[in-house]
Amino acid sequence: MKSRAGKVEKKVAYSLLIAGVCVFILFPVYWLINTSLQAKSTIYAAPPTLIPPLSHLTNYVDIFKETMLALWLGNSLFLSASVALISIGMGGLGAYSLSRFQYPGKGILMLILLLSQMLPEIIIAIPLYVSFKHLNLLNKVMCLVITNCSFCIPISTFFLKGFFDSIPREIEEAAVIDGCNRMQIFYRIFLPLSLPGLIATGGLIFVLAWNEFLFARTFLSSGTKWVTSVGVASFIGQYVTPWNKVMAGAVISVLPVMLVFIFFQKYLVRGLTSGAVKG
Amino acid sequence: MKNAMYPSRWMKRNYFPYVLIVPSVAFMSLVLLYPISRSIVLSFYKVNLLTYGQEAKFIGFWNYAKVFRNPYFWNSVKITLIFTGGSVLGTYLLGLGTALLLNVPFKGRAVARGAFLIPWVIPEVVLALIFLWIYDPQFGVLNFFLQRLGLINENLYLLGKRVTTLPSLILILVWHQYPIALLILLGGLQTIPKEQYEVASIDGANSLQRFRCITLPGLRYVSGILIMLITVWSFVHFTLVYVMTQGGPARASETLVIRAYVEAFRYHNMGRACTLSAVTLIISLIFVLFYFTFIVRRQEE
Repeated sequence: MKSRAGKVEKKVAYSLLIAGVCVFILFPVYWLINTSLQAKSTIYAAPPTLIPPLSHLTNYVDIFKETMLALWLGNSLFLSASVALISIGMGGLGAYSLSRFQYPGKGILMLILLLSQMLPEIIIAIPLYVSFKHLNLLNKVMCLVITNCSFCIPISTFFLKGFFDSIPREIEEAAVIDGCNRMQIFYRIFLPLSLPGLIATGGLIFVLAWNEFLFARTFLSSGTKWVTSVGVASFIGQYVTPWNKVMAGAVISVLPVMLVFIFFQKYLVRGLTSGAVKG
Repeated sequence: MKNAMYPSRWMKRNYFPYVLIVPSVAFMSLVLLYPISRSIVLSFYKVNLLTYGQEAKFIGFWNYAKVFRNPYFWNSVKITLIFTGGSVLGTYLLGLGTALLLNVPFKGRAVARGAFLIPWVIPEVVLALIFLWIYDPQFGVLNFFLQRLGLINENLYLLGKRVTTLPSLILILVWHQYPIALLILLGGLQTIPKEQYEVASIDGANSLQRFRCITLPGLRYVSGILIMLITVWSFVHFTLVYVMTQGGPARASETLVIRAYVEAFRYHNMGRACTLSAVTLIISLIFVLFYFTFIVRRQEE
């Protein structure tokens, strides 16, 4: 009996420890939400208000009225959705090739895909700026779609290869007997069977494109063309917008990313760890 | 033999996988490989970003000589190395600590894992906003807590002093990227067989000895990959520093990528900026090379 009571105590202590660490780690997120719900007068008060009053949801309306946030969200949505679709399409075909066929040059290809994840973005930003200027693509969301894809296609190839690798070969063999050619195997078997994987990869790429800052900051100059990351960054150092409204805008810009994370956490974790550990 | 009898099928069998991967390869050559090689070529030219094409002048290694002779470049190298070292150390330790916490089964583990991963999902720009507000010298909550705890007498201006800027930035980056370390190390921990711990306990090893002799060696392989990844990512990290300090105050956080960016898009000195980014690329490739030799050696063992 005594040892059992000790066990319970240990369990409680452990849960408390975990909870404590959680509080510490999540405090900045809490502070973001807390500030976004307060009045201008209370955010600058001497003991900061730790519990939000919930009476200032108007911050969320004001930030739409006072800035071009709605426009930026629309641009970001277009950007992220296009990048996700293109990366899934191209990456899916590439992943099918890498997952099911043996051919010379495959190792080098995988290496190049992996190396592309370790590049300093700045090295491609400078020449691309010039190229886009010549092509008259500067200050258009289209140039961001192109640039983001270059980083996202390798990621989706790796993720989808992981999902395709887990499809048993017997299914393919059965399909061949039924008269499927290799392209039909791809879209009749691989795509439907790895649908969760496709969605999770699409979600991840959506998030990456949504958060990307360097290219967006460099290639887009006029406020109406901005995407959310650049728009939100423009709040900084501009003392016209008080912190509570800035934080409201920031919360709105995080929402799509959070939703993706909540829905696809399991798949994201699987894809990330398998991709990183297998290399 | 069989293939040789059916030439058309032979063709199909050989080219099909290439056809599948051609779109990706073509795209990446155009948007990744071409710009990189162009950057490297331009690092040997004197060329202005705005008047590009009309006044490019080949000057050999002059850009490199200029860059290496500039004391600000060596300042940036130092800053980048401190920034990278601090981030890697912090990220690894926090990741390891949280992974060990989550490796013990308890009720609500999945929820706790989800919560621990949240910092990774917050976009860097939003992170910058949150921490600018938390660090705020006048109204920031951090200063309030520190004063209340009696640790400081007057408010700190963390991002305004040379000494505190870099540690304050490192702290944010650690907070942002430790979830990756957590995931990878947790995966590594779960591959260590439980029997090893049991045998060690029977032999009378205490928990510290078990950690040192079983856990750490068991994590060696994933740690190598992880540290390489975080090193390269921290080394080329741009957004947080650019948004929060733009390299200031007085170049105290001017990393190599920030310097390259400023050189290109503020001073329009494209050749010099390409030189700086080529140097950055070379250093990060050296990190990657280390990693691959590590992996190869490990596989030979």
